[in-house]
Amino acid sequence: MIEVTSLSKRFGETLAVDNLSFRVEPARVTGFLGPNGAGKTTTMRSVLGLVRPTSGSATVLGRPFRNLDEPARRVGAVLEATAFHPGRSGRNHLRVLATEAGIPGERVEEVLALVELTDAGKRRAGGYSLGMRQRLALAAALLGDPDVLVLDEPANGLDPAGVRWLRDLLRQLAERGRTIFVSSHILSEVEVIADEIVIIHDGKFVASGTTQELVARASGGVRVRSPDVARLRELLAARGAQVADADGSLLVSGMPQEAIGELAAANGVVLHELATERASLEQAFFELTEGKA
Amino acid sequence: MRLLRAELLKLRTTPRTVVGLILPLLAIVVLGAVGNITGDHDASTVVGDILEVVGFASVIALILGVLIVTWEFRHNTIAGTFMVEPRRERVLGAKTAAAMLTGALLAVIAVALALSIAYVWIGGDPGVSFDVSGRAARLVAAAALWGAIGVGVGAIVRGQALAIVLSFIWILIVEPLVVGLYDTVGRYLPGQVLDELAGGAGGDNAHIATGAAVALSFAYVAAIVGVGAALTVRRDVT
Repeated sequence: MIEVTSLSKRFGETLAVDNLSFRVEPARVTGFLGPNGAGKTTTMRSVLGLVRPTSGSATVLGRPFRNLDEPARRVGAVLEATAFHPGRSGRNHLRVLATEAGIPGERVEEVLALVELTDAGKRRAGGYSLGMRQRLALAAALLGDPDVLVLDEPANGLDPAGVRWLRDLLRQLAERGRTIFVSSHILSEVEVIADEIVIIHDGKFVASGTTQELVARASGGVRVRSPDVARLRELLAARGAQVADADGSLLVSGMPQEAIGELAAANGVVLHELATERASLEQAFFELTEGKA
Repeated sequence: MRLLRAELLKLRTTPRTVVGLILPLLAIVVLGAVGNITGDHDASTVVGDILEVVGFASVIALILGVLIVTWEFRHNTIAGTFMVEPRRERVLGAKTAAAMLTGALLAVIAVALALSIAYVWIGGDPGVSFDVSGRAARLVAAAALWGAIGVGVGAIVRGQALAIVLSFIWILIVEPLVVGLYDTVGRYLPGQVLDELAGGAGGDNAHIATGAAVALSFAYVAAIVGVGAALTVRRDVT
């Protein structure tokens, strides 16, 4: 479990994290969302004891990271895909970390097999593709078979098959009771992968809840196609609906589909299409963060 | 102990870097030794002159010490290291020990090479008028301490190129300048003191007693590594 309480971090003039509080529960995959520069990485690094909070606290399994016994067996993390000496082979990179953590050498082979890098393990890591680097970073995080995984943009650079593989792996780990905390800017990915989501913006808490909850909070909108777009827009606006142009059709929010149809019929406006758009996390995300910008 | 083993493993698993540092050392020792022997030499001092070249091992030890710290920042591995061992002062301690061991080993190799060339080329005992093993021990100790200083400087500066450049500016420009202008102060600067410990150049009148040189050398190393460790513990890893 991860618990962030009134966490603030100031770098010089910049307040990167501003009085942030949330919890990440075990046996769940929790997505961590926010635009670039929202403070996700700083928050994660505070959780991992790499960044010292200006005020507030971040604990893992009930303790500050720096007070954990054998932290490599408690917490694994991926922070940057390219976090290895390029002249060292993938296998040797893991051997170094295993030696530091007092983890037996056989475990290196296990995690190499798990991330499908057994054959590439003897090659210089500097020659790895981005996808291979991500998998090597993930192997390092899994080395101690930790209870908590903290992953900063782990899907970056993975091909679609790799993303699916990552999703399945994280799901399995969550089912085995692990706490998984994943940041990503790929919203559609988080929507599929995460059970819970924490959204931040400008270092501040915006929203949290289950993925379904947050999606439900987003108004999906209704797509309307009509040969008389201009007239329809006036009618809708007069009724207080929000209208946006979307490739020649209108995207209407704040009014149900039926009401739009009735309004059009009552005013003799021809409709070519009238369809409710499924709300996506992406919409939820933009709606939630826009107000804060 | 496992941290020290890991540091030594880091060195062993980056063959290009390490070979790239050892080869120039061996080349300079060979060239220096051969140059001394083939030039006009006095049989009684030639071994001392050849050992003088081994002082270059200290330069390599310094660079290696800097690299042991700075490449972790350069390649983003420092976060991983500190997550495995959040007590960062221990990590720095292991790095210092690894740099000292490696520096000493480099000096031992250089001494062995230099002496082999000397004795084989000259053939038998050239009639040495000084304590060869004592001199060798001083060179090895100095290289070990330079390795530790490299770790301290690397931890303070963090940038690889900057740390190495600053070290050389200090050794090649700042210290000689101070020594030239204010010798009474200059002789107590770190480079001069460690040179004295290594049984250095000699000839000038800037010497300080060996005991004082040893004490000051260790004090400098402790201070530089101590500052590096204090900063490392307090700084954010971003």
